[in-house]
Amino acid sequence: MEDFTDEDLLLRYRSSPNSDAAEPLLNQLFQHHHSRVAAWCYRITGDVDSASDLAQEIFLKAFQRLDSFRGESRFTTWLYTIARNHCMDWLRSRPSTPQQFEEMPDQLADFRSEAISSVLERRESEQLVRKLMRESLDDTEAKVMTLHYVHELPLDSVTRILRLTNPSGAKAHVVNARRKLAKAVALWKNRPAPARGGTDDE
Amino acid sequence: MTNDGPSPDELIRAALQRTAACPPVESLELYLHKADPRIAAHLQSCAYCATELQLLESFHSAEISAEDAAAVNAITQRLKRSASQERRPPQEQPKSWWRFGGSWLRPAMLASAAILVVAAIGLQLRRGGPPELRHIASQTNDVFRAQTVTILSPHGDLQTPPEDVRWEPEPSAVTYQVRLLEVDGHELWTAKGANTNMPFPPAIRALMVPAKTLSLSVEAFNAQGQKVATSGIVSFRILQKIYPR
Repeated sequence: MEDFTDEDLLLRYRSSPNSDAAEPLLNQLFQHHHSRVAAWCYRITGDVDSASDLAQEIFLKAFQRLDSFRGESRFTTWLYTIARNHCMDWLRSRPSTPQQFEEMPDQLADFRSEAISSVLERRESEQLVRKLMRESLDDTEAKVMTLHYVHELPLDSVTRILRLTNPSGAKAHVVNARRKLAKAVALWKNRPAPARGGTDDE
Repeated sequence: MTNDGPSPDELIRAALQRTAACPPVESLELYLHKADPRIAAHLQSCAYCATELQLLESFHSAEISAEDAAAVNAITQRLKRSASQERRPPQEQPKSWWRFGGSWLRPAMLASAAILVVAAIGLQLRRGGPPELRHIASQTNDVFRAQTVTILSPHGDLQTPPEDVRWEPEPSAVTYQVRLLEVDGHELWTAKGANTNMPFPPAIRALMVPAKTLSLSVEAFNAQGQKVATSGIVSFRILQKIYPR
């Protein structure tokens, strides 16, 4: 069969979805993405059997939702969102032992009790933490923290997905980031009162 | 002072969350192809979007690291096997897995299967005798299928010591173990890896002297660490150079 682009294949499929030619068109479309979905799933799971199951489920989901693809992005991007959400849901659904880090540094604990609860509104405090993180963390640390804390990915998955090559992988970056953040909070606390936005009641 | 506020971890999570200012993934896709100053400025200050962009870029590039290659190959082989079913003649052609999943017949088929299972259990109970025990060998972690790994090189007579050993991938394997042996079975070197080739260390190549026959074996292991295939023994030797008088 001629090698059409994803968009051509979809166009042809949609022109006659019930014809005999429709199924090979879809197979060809999905085959274009076998290796990228396989690689993605393997990086998430770290084992072939789970990754194979996830990859098949992703293609099944893509088939079932094919009508929702409106060409606002490339087909690859649309498939990426399905793959990302499906794999992250799978990770969250697995029973896992929470990662234990060293005791939260004093400065960050203080920041919680003083600065957040009684001094600043939560929204302001989030903005402040965001600012401190932006100023103190490097790119890799910020990405590791996002994947681990926001997307709730286990550290071994974060290590594989970001292709971290340091010996202890994502864990080292989380530990470093937390220390840096604690230091930044300590510096912020020791700044002269006017520089703290005038909301401090000290 | 109170401790009723969010925990430090909650604060970190909230600070890294997606915000209303974050662009949609379609905009990040465009940014992959054409730099947009507004997106660039946002990425400087937003770890969430910077992470999303890296994941998207990695998915688009479909780059497969050397250590993932064997596993990815195994997964794509399984996907291809599922898809290849649709190329069978129509009279024996089952629906592809992605059509099968949405069939209205599925509940009925599951119900039929359940009835058959119940009937089979009933028959087994009526027979009364103890179930046959499986042979002990079937419970070991050794080779389950008569599969072989084909060593592509080196084998036979060679002019120079080989740089590496290469073999054909085994679809269900995630790691391989290579062993280099002397003819009496003494192991000179062994190594493990996920690729379908393994370079010989210089010190081992130095042992490959002319006229000395050496043997190789490659064993394939699945994700559970079970041996799924083996190459058997393949021999090679370096030819002696004949210098003209």
